[in-house]
Amino acid sequence: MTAEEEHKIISKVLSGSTESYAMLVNEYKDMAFTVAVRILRNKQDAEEIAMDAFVKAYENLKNFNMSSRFSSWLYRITYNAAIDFVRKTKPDFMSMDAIDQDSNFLDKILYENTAETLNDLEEKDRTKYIRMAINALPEDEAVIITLYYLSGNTVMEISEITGLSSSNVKVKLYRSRNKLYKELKRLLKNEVGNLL
Amino acid sequence: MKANDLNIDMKTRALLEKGGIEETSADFTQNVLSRVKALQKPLLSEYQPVISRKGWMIISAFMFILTIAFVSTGFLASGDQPSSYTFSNEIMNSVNNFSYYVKEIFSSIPEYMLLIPIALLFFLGFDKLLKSIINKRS
Repeated sequence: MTAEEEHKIISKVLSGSTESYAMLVNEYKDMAFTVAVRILRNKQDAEEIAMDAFVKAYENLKNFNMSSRFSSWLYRITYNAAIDFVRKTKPDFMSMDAIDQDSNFLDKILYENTAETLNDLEEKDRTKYIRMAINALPEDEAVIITLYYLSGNTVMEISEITGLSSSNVKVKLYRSRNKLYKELKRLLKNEVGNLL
Repeated sequence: MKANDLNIDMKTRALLEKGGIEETSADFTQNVLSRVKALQKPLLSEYQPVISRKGWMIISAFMFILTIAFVSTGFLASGDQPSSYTFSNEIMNSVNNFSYYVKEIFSSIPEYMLLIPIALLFFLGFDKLLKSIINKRS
């Protein structure tokens, strides 16, 4: 959905057409839910947070700045809501690196081999391993990598959504990508090991 | 290096698109809309005055006629009649005749009944005041 289409729908909703809001919900519900899952690691809580985010966005729609994207604004609300939820329920919440920190150089072979191996798997197994690999990342990196590669948000937009600086987002993106592939490689090796 | 980076970028995007996005439950949108609709407060019924604008106009016309009647009665009583014939005299005569009939009607009404229009005016004023207070609050 383009920014123009978003704004047309928003104008309709502000004029009183609540049903038009469903179009925005349907368009962005999966990504909002995904952002929440990346942080909460629990689908039930994540769905609740995503719903709350949509309701909060609706309540504040009259304050929405039409010069920006509704999707970025929504993901920001979702992100903040998820972080707040985690802080309330897990007071000792801290992003912890789960994987080896050594990510200073790009391993071209790592990426290509991993991608190829994944392609050989069945779809449901592929999905399973990709999600496991993403969930192994720290929450903020999992969100960044999701927003950048799945939602197509720019570094600037991700910076606005997460509250991190653009340079920080770039660094985390770079690191999380490496970690993702390394984790996938590890998982796939284990899978091969189990089969043997 | 840049081309390599772009290549990895594309591969990563393709990889994540295969299984990175989570799906909500089937009734997600419906649940959101239900919550949104529950937010919409019912419209407060706007306070309607007892007497509408039209009613006010009728009352005003009636009061105007009464005023003319009482003023004209004063003219009759004082004997203050114009001596020369003019168009205004014609009007005055018509009004005087009308007011005579009106006076006849009113003279048959008991005096305490005159309190009714006064009371009515009081309640009308109170009604307007209530309307402005309640509409300000809503």
